[in-house]
Amino acid sequence: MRVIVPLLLFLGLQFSFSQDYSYHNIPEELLKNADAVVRLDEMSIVVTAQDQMHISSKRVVTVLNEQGNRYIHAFAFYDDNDKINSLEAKIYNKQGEEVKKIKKRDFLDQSAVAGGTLYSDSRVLFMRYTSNEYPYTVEFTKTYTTPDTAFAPPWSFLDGYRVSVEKSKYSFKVECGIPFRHKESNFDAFPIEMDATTNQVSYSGTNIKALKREPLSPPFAEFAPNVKIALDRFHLEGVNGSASNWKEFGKWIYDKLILGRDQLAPETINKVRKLVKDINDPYEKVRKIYEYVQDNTRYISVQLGIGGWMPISAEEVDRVKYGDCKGLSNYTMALLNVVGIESFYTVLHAGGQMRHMDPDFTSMEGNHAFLNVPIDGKDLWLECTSQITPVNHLGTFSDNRNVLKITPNGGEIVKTHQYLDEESYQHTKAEIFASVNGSVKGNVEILSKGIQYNQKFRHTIKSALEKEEFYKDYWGYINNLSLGEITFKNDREKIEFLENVEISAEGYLSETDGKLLFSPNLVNRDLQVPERSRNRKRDLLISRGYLDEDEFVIHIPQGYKPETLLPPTKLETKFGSYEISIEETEQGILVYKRRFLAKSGRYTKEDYKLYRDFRKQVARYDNSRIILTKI
Amino acid sequence: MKFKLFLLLLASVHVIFANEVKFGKVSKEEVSETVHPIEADAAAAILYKKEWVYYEYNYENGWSMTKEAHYRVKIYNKQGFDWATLQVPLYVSGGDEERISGVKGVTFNLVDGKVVSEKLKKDGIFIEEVNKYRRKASITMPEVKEGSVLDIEYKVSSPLFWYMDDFWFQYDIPVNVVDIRLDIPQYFIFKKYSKGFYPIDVRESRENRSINVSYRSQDQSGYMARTSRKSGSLDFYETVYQVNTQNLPSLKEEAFTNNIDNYRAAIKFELAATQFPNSPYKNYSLSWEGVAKSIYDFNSFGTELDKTRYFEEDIDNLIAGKTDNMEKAMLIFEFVKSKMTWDDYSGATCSEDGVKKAYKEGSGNVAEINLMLTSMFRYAGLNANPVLVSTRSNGIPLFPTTDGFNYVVSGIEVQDDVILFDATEKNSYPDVLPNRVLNWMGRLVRKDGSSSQVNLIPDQPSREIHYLNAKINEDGSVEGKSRTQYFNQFALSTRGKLSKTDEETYLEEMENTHGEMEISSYALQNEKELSKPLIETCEFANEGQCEIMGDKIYVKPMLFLAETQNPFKMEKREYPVDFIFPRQKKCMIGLTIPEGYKIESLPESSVVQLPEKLGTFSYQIVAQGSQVNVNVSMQLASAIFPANYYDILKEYYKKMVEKEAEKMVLSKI
Repeated sequence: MRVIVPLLLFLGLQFSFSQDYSYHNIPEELLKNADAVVRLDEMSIVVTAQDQMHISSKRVVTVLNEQGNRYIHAFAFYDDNDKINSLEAKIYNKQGEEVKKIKKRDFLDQSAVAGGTLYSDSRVLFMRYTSNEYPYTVEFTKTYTTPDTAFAPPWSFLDGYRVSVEKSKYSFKVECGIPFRHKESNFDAFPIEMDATTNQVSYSGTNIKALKREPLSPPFAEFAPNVKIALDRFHLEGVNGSASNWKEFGKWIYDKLILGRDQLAPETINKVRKLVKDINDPYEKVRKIYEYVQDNTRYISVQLGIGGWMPISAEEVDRVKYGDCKGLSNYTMALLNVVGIESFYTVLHAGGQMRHMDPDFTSMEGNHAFLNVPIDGKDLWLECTSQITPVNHLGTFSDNRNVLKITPNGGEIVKTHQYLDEESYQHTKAEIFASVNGSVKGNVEILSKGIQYNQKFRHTIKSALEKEEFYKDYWGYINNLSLGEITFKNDREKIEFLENVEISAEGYLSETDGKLLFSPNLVNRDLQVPERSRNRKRDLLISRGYLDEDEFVIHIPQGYKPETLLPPTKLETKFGSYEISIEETEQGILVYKRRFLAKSGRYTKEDYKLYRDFRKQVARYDNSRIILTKI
Repeated sequence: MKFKLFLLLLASVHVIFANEVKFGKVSKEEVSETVHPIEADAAAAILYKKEWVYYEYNYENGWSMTKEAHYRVKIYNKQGFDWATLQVPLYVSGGDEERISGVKGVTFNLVDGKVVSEKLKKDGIFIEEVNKYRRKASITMPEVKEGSVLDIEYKVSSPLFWYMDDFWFQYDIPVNVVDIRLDIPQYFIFKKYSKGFYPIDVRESRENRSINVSYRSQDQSGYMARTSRKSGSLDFYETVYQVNTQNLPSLKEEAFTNNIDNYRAAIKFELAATQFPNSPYKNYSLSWEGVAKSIYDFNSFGTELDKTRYFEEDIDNLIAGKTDNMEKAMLIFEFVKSKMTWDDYSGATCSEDGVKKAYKEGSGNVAEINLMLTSMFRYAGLNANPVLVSTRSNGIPLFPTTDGFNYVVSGIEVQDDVILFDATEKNSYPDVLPNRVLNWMGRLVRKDGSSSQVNLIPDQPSREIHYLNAKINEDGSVEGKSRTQYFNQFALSTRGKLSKTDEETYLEEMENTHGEMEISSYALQNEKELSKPLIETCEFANEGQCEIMGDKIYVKPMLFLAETQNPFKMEKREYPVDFIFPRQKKCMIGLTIPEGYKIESLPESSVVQLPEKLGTFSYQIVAQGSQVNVNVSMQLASAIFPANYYDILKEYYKKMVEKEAEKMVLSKI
């Protein structure tokens, strides 16, 4: 009988809407800035047991142009546990007349192994259809059943930029008495209604207009309306769980997915102990072990069943010497444990855009794992999937965000290190010799720290060709650039990177009427000006700042003296400061100094233009030239 | 004497096997090597690659092909770790599928001066069902570190005995030793082709072979039929192809390169004919005539091309009363373009659906659309034929094979010329084809089996003409009007871009590419009139075009149209430079200088030429009162320049960029 109830329910859903999908019925306001209009997006979820969830959905999208095709979403991801009960798409023309029906068997079945993953059991069924006219409409219905109730589908009323929504409905119902939680975000500015009882919650949004992408704006999830749902008792790939807060959730992860997976062979234990036997400083021990892991393992991702969430055992990793983020973190944790250092498996959202684990709402989230090692009251972080990242270097992959630290006592939301603007430091020193024929030649030394270190330290594994490409792009504004010797010094302990590059370029100085013109900022021009943003709606967000200091000693050609030098300049704004000066310290030698602090921060939408003006000025000063005349 | 003979024998055995690389037998030198002896910055190297292809016969299933492979890979540094994972594609065709077996792997490392090995286990082998047509085996090796040597061997058996994967000799890491051997029974006649810049020598010899075949035989004697197993032997000869080569350099992608695979050393074997006992000699393709004929024999090509009934009525109505051939052709071309939408699938032959269904649904793959077009042309009395094409991403078809082509367009023969049509792209025009098609030569295949080469790259340069009329202001800002004409390929790509984005986004992009520009009064002409050039007009204001130093204004006379960077920055070039199509950019600029200023100096007019009239850059500038007129033309008469032209080309661009960067100086009166 269990099966029949939801089936009936789905049938009811099929018949309750027989809408007119004609393009002409779309309200004018929904067409603005849109490549597609979601006419109806409806999902209803019924949880009938801790390990049984029925999901039925119907999505109707009118595609306005080629770009809009990406919002059809006529696909179904599945793995071995899921059962897709029905799948169907119907195509309607501009007038709303049905022109084609695509049945389940006409959907293409393909493996859905994510990029960077060697193997997983995910698959996808997807529709292949090419429309010969725009607009057209796709109605896609799907019902499936899954035991993995740990992932109650969250709901986004808007799927992204340039898509509007006529009607969006979501309902979540629990028929087995399990308590559940829900969290609504960013509802204020949107016409969304909510209805909740103890065993059910439902939402309905109407006429949500399309949003336009804006440069340097906060992440979409921060302002778009969405709902998160989580059951207090759930199931994941054969494992039951219960949690209503991060402490309990972390406890579950620890007990069910981590505990006991740290066993190691006695030889390995001996080997590791031997490695650190003369070291007393705990930090040094960590470094030794971490480097051992980096030198002996590599990243290979295989995600099968519960293996998508449970690390492969330390013993396994030790044998094959590879693993994914979970496996390598757990392995490192086991090795550290052997030498008496406690560390904690930590789950996060990794990536250049800082995404937080929600401290106020506990649910299955995150896409990565790394390791937290508290030493003398300070947190050290170990990125175990990288063979070259130094101890405690987060970079843009994991900096400044809430992460979930798993301890034997439960989970705990902690924040990773935020690089202060001044910490992401670059110091460029150069000595340049200019000659009468217009060429320059010299030596450049660049020291980088913080986030700027992050952008450099992979240079060491680049081939000669890649290095040539990099510098010719980095100094793309210097025409006819030739590179001489390039050397690097990567100080992994101090987390500092030093580049030493010999450069030369013909025709750097240009001659006009017997005078020589050139730009004294040879090797560190910051020419990026953010795009114009018309009718800006959202804040300006600069996620990370940096500080550059430069000192270039320029030997001007013999027989010339400066006619004009740049006047000392100082720009002071809320977005940062910029300072340059150039001086003839002794005859024939100019010293150019520059200091540029770009601040991180959140600013109002009105500030965007001011910020752009600031960056324009910086670019202009960095390009500006001076004139030399014959003595 | 006996003793001596034995010794000799041993010695000779030793000589024979000295060079043989045996699976699992790795030398200490190989494991302890830290740098590749020839390419010092190689992250990894293929120390050894062995592939042996041979045929087997079995009475029930017929012929099958087996490939045994052995690879030995050296990992020098962490960048090379990707080479510790091997992926083997396995094809599935109908009920037939390629199978992998006998996967073995061993990783060798140097530990405390000793070679230590670790075997690959089952958990390092994965078979993925990619889709209906393809599976993939992924093999990843254990215990991989810097310095590891990996031995991997496997076997793939294939019932698809007529299809042989290409043999590749070059990768983006160096390859030390390659041994390839193919044993082809006399019943199969394969033709071999080599390609790439690096010459590969193939030796051919003949060997006899005998195989035992056991089969079931039915005895009809007596009441009940009895099945018994019998066996016989099959004697035949085999052609043995062998390649033994060494030290193949790595291959690196460069900017402005057509498909890099065109330059990669490889050998391809294609089945030319079969000659089975008691069966007639069967010929497959392998001359251009053969290709033309055999592709017409495919149902998904010839049969589809012959179908006309589904469109007759529509075409009759469309061309009723028209007598001029070109007019009819244009009507039909426009009709197909508007009716049909390309589903982004390539193919020189139709999908299972075929032209009729495609026509009904209004969408189809390349062959469906362009064969339909060809057949409509023919129906209307035009001399039209399919032109087989290999797209840029598919590589250059150097030799006559059917599977070398992955695309088809339509060609109408007129006098000494062929006019090409591609209806997959809405904005295409006769002889203006999408860039993907502009790949060397196509093959026009006629019904009668004759065929001829058709140059796909246009002879005439595509033009882009900019007219600017601008006023320079005292504060260094510039404002004015712009009119740009796009012809042929430039018109096609600009129309394509316009149809994919809304105007606002397009303009924002344009403003951003020109720096601090603001555009207003934007208008388009001939957006849909494909026979005419696309014309963009707008007004612009640009703040940052001038430099003000002291009381002088320095400004590039070409303003934002000046090229600022030489696209050729690298010191060396290995492969030809490919600009896709010949091109010409012209700028005609009129500038008014601010009142109260005079022209202190102007850049000099200048002309730069490439040898053999392959390109000309001309920069003409004159001043008259407060007016400056600049006339610049930049032409590349060829789409492709061999690598030995690189230095000349780089120099040509250098001079062009330098000239365009020169500034005129305005000073206060």
